[in-house]
Amino acid sequence: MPVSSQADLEDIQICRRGDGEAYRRLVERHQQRIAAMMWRFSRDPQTHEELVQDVFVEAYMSLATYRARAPFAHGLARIATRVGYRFWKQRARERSIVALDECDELSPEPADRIEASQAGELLHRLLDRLPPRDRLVLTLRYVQDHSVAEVARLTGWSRTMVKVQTWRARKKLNNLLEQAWREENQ
Amino acid sequence: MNAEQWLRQLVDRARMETPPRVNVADRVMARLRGGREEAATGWIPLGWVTALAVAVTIPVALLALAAWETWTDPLAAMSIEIVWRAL
Repeated sequence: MPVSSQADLEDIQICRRGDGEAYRRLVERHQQRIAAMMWRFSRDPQTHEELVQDVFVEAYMSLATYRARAPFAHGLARIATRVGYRFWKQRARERSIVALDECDELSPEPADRIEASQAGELLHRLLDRLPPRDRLVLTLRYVQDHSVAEVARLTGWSRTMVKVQTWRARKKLNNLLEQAWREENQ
Repeated sequence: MNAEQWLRQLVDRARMETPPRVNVADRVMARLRGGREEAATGWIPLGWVTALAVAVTIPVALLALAAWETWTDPLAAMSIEIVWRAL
């Protein structure tokens, strides 16, 4: 059974005794990894930073029930997934969808020549066309490169559910892209 | 090139992106401190309301008890009856 890193465990114990500085150390230790995760959920710098903060505030609230059966980083990743998914669901209710044809680089030319940040932006906008559930599973499986078991752990879904959802979402994304290419050719 | 291959290439490129670095420690700590203060101050008005309610309820209850005892006292009832008949 995996255990938390020693430094995390010590800081969690100190934090529970009321020393806020210990939690600051935990934030400083994990913030770049969480920032990288949350960048897949929002590319707006201000929203991104707020999401990272939300993850650490929620993690603090759950410290009292943390049992150290898994590393603190795992729990943090689960919270980050929940925070990001909730953000997408809220946005999906409010937003107006950006048309795909606004993506300049959406041509069938090989994508390996696209600049990394542009590829990130393009992928973000492409996935933005999918419902939050499909988007989440594709982001975790392919963009963040998690295994089926890891996605199941992060989302709380069963492995079968993850596989089915991934298959459906991939199909939707392929159809979406092919449709965009067809429209471009017309 | 089909959509599947194109997407794989796009994902590979996107993974090479360096996400922005953040420093949220101060803001997180400020939010947590704010939350604690809010939680603590949230009890203060509620505590005052409770104390005031208790302060009003106890004398009212004592007065009501005294009045009830007076009205149900047989001697008092008889005296009141005599007074009414005399009038």
